[in-house]
Amino acid sequence: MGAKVNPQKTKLGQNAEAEALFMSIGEGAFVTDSNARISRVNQTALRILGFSEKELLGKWFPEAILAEDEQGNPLNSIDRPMGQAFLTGNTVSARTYYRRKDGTRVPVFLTVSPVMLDSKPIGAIEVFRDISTELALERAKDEFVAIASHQLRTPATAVKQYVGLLLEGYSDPITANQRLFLERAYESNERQLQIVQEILKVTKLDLEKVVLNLETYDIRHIVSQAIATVKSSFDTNQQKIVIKEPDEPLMAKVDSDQLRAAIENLLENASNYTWPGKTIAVSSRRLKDRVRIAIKDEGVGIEAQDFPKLFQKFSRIPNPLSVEVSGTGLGLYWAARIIHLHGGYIHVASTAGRGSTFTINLPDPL
Amino acid sequence: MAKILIVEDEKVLNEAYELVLKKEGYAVSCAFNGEEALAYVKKGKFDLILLDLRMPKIDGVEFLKRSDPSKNFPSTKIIVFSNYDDQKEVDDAIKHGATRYILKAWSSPSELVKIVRESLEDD
Repeated sequence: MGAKVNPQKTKLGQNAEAEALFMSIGEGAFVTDSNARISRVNQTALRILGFSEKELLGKWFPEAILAEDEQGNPLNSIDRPMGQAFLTGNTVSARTYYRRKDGTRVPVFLTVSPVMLDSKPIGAIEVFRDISTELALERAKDEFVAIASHQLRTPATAVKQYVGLLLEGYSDPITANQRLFLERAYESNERQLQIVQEILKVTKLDLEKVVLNLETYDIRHIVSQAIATVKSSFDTNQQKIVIKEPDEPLMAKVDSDQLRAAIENLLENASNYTWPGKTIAVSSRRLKDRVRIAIKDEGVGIEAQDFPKLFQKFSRIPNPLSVEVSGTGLGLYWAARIIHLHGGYIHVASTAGRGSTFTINLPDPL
Repeated sequence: MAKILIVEDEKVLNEAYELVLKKEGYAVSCAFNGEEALAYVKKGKFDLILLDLRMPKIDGVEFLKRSDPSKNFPSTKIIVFSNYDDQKEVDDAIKHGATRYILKAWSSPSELVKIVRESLEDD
């Protein structure tokens, strides 16, 4: 026979235990009600953000805890992870920046989950941690990579000069075979220099050394310049290019050089992953709140398991059309970061075996 | 015969540029840092200077600041020939008298000759 239990007391005990557990979580934690008003906050959150419990309880979360993107632009309540979690009913993880009570910024990594009861959201729980140390380490690593890459450039430049001296007739005549071997050495060295260049380009972005030179441009011109640069690749692969654009100028405030390079990158990928004879369509248009540039290919497409790797540094998606492993695996990462710096994003839709569409979305007006 | 001053601290690169430019018929002098370059421009006049930026003792930008090309040798073409493409550093060099900037890694010997010729003709 079981002991008699006082249900009231047990519930109280459970509540106290839950409270103690919540308060002891080593990471910052908030609980909100269905209107995003803060109903609980733990000690770690208070310590990271510098508020007292009294200052936060009952307050509307987006107003009490200000969130910003990397560039310091405030995030509106819908774009914030909690807004997304409420909207979609899914758990959302993201890196963002919070403003402390004293006005300073703290980078955080957070996970927010809607709390569901009978399939209805009754609130949300957010757990976050201060990632300042991780970011400082990342920065130190990027700086190291930048220095190391610069150091590699000098000997590779010397190889280019001396092989160049032989190939370009600044030394004694060479045989046909010697020329062939030297040309191979030259090409490999060029590839090494190209890789160093790509790494430096990416680390410059990661170290926030890239400042966009924003001016108002006709996007149609930038698209046609990018197509002209990549044309030889389309010609080599015997691919057709189709352009769809509005008749009137499609003005947007962008860094034309950087945007052009990002489009070139997507075009080159489209060409490399598409069979000869097929078509690549480039379209640009204005939507209600954005300018959209889409690059649609009839290529090999992307397998579902490769999607998460697409925009990661140094990740290369297997290409059944090429025996050689080409590229540095940095192009898409770089392009996505550049578009992100513009306040936009790249969207990818793909079916394996049928083709992919990469869409650049730029905010309008910026 | 046009006179060229190479300012490059990497001995192998300095020698390669010297060989090519001499073979193309230019009169070439070689400095291995900004200090040596200053001594050269004090002694004589050059039509073109090929200037590296990161060098020991006196670097490229400092050489430009101290030698003041726009005042002391305004007709000399100064090509910054560096493997650093730090925008601020390049802007600094242009501000202090450099006429153009080339990334060393992208120039083969014949491309270097082409750049030098273009710069000398560009008056």
